[in-house]
Amino acid sequence: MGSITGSAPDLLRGTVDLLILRTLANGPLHGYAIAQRLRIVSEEVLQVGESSLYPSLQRLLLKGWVSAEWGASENNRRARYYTITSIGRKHLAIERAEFERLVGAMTRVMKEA
Amino acid sequence: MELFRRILAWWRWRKQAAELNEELETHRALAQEELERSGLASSDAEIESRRRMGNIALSREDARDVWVIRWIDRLRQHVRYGARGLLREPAFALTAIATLALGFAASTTVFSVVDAELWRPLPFSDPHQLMAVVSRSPKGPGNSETISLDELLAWRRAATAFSQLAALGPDGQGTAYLDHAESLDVQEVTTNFFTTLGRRPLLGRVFASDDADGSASVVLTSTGWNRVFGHDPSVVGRSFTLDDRRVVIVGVVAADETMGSDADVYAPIDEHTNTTDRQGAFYGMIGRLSPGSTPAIAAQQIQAEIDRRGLTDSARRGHRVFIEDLSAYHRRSDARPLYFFLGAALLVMALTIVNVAGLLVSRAIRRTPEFALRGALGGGTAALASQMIVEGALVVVPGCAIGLVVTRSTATAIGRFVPYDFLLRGSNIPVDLRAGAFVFGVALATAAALAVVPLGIVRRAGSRAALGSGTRTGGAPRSDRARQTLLIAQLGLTLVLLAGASVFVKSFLALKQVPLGFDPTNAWSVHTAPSGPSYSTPAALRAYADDTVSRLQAIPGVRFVSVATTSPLGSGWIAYTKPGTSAIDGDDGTRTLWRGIGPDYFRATGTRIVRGRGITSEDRADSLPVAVVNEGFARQAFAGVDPIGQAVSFLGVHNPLGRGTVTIVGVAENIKELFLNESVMPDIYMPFAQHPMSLVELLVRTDGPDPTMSATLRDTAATASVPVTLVSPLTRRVDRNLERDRFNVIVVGWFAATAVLMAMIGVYGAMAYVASARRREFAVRLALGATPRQVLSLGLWQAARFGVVGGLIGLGGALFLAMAIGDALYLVPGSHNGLLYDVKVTDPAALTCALVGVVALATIAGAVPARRSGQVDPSQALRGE
Repeated sequence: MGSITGSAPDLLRGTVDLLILRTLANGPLHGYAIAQRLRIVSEEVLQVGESSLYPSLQRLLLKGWVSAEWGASENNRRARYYTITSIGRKHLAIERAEFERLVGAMTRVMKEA
Repeated sequence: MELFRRILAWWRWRKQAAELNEELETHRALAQEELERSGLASSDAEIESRRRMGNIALSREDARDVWVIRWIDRLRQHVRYGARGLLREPAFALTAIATLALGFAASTTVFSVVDAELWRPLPFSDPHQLMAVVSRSPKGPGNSETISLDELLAWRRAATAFSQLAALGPDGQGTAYLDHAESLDVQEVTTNFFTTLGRRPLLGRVFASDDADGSASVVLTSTGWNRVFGHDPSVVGRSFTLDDRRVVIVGVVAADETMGSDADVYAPIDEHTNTTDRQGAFYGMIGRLSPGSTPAIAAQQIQAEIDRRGLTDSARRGHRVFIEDLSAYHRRSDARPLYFFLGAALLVMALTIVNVAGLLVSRAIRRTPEFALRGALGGGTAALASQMIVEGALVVVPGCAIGLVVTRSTATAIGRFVPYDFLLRGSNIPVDLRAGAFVFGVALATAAALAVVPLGIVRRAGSRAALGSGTRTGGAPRSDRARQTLLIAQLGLTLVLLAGASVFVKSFLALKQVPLGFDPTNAWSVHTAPSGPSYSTPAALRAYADDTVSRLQAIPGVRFVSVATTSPLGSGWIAYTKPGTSAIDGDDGTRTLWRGIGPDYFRATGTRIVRGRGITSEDRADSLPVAVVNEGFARQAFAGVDPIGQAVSFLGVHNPLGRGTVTIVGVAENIKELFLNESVMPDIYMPFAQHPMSLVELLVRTDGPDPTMSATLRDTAATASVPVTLVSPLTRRVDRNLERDRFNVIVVGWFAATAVLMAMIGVYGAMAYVASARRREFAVRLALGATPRQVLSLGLWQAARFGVVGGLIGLGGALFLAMAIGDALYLVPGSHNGLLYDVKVTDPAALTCALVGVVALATIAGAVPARRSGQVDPSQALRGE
């Protein structure tokens, strides 16, 4: 059996959304490429499986933070490319700031307490 | 925006799903390629990629959940599951749906009728501004006084609170001379009558103010238009002779029966005529309040005018004006049957809800193993509760929908089915959905509330192994008690309805036996209407009566013929009488029915003369004024004294009799004057020759039944100038009088039958459940030597016990209701009718009958399951579990 994530907790769900948005900020990517990029950039720490990747992408589509269109992949396969929208960028900025505030707070607590 | 995307996705979900599938496949293929690049064989890479993808279906579901709101999806699941469950138990589904449909239809139909009759405002513009205005004498017996034209004009000036004040003149019969003579109901009104009400014309126009100046305009109602003018679309502008004058039809209005029966034709009152000619010209007034003013202000203004006039006019001294909402004023005088039916409908509605609740609870208990299993597996209570609510709705929604369809057809059927003039506001009943919505809401709420039953089962499932079907001890004690309470409530309600029905049936049977005081068999009444200038003198009317009587007398098979102004169970003229010769102006007198009759009247009706003589041909116009009274009059006016030879005076208040004194020459037996269940009314009969009237009825007694008699009588009585308005056998009057009571019995009986049916279903369901729950116990008893008969009687006894307990509780309720109703269903003094005759609402026989009925129905309904218990095969029952 593969990894059954079920419905992820809200924090995690929000985090995956944030990571995807950040990844897309550099340019359009298809789903597989997003997963690969996350794995490589995080040095194999973050393994976002398709079971949370695709629901997350659908959620972003629903909110209008990304748009999608079909295109050809590097080896000529039909793939769906996701592009971050301007609202998406705005949200990325907001959530990134929020995330950094949270991480900073946690780091401080971990060091001093 | 998000919502729009959501809807769009839902709309083209198939395409979206295909895209998602393709995307996931691309993902897998890319993973496979990568694996191949790292050196795996193609087939291994494919397997590995699939392994890494994990549960694609789940991913897809998760992705789908983003778009589709989860509860809608779950709702669909519940509906599918619930529908499947209902199909597995068609008996339950059909019973519950049919019960609801029945209860819905019964209560909504009755409510619609009651609403249309009692509560719906008049169908005119701003009906709340419309007021009935009457003036009452301080001594008078509550009747409104007529007022004169100059009073109306003075009131109009005084009452600025009314934007309009219209008045109705006398209504009567007129004769239209077309190619044949046709009798019409004519109503005289002031010209602002239609504009005050806001009644608009269908064709042409209504009266304008210049019609008040003695114009020859008339307005037809659609009744007159259809009956007399054959719905002729070009009728406006047509002229015809009405009695003694030529009139022109200026318009047609829709007939409206919300204020009592409507005329065939309206004629305008000449308001510029000599005012002394118009004493007592108006019988009723209708005012429309100006915006912002109140009935109290209007009453004050008119009262000031009446008081001013009272200073000089002694006849008006002390009169009071009464201003009442027009709709309330014209409400039916006797709303009791409607309220009674409404009460019965409410009981049936309560019964419906209780019955459906009982069915749902039983079903929940039956499903104990299923719920227990869910509970044991950790099924969420929220999901279960929502599923139960959906399952309840699956019964309630179709039940109420079918009920609505049935209501529509019963509402139309009632128009044809109800007795003559039972519904004042016309027989076209709009379905009132408020009652239906109420039933629907209560049923749905009940179904939702009952979701707690399975929840209780689930909660207990953890601690107790309700799963083991072998120990079906009958669900949980609490739900068992709920079920029993519902059953007893049902039986109690049924008893109340059965008791009501028994009382009505007993009353109806008594009414059929009531002595009439006349013999309706082989007796006919022929109404004619001599009107117009040729019949305006007493001599002409006497001659007309003599001539018509002799023509009818000549018909073979006719035994007696007499002229009369009115006849038994027909209408009556009221006079105020006082024994003795001295009647002082302003005396109240006794309310008496009087009629003018011919010599053979008592022989024609079959009424006995108990003392003295009847009216003879010797009682002519110029002979001594004489009268025959009935026993009721004799007892009331001359208690203990022989009335023969005594004098009676009648006071000349608004009746065509005028004032005078007569000598009593005979006493006749009491007759039923208006209703079969009236109390004795004082009657006084006087020779037609001494008091001729233009409303003439001929009473005919024939030798035996003759199918052609009706036509023969009509042809013989009609002349070129006097039409025959009605020929009817007296037996029909008796039937018609019973019709209303028969209708009451049918309606109440129908409600009771519904209740019995529902209660039987309830008892059957409960007993069937008990039988299956105690199957093991019965098997043990049988195995230990009990006979099937003993087991059967065990079940019957249990059912009967429910009947007794429910019945006794219902008996308490019925007695309580009877106390609350009190005398409301009986003869009311001053009114003639009663809903019940010769029976008390607490009639012991009727109540016993109802109690026996409830116990019997419980026992009968319990018999089938009990019999089944007696036939349990012990070896099978004990081994099977």
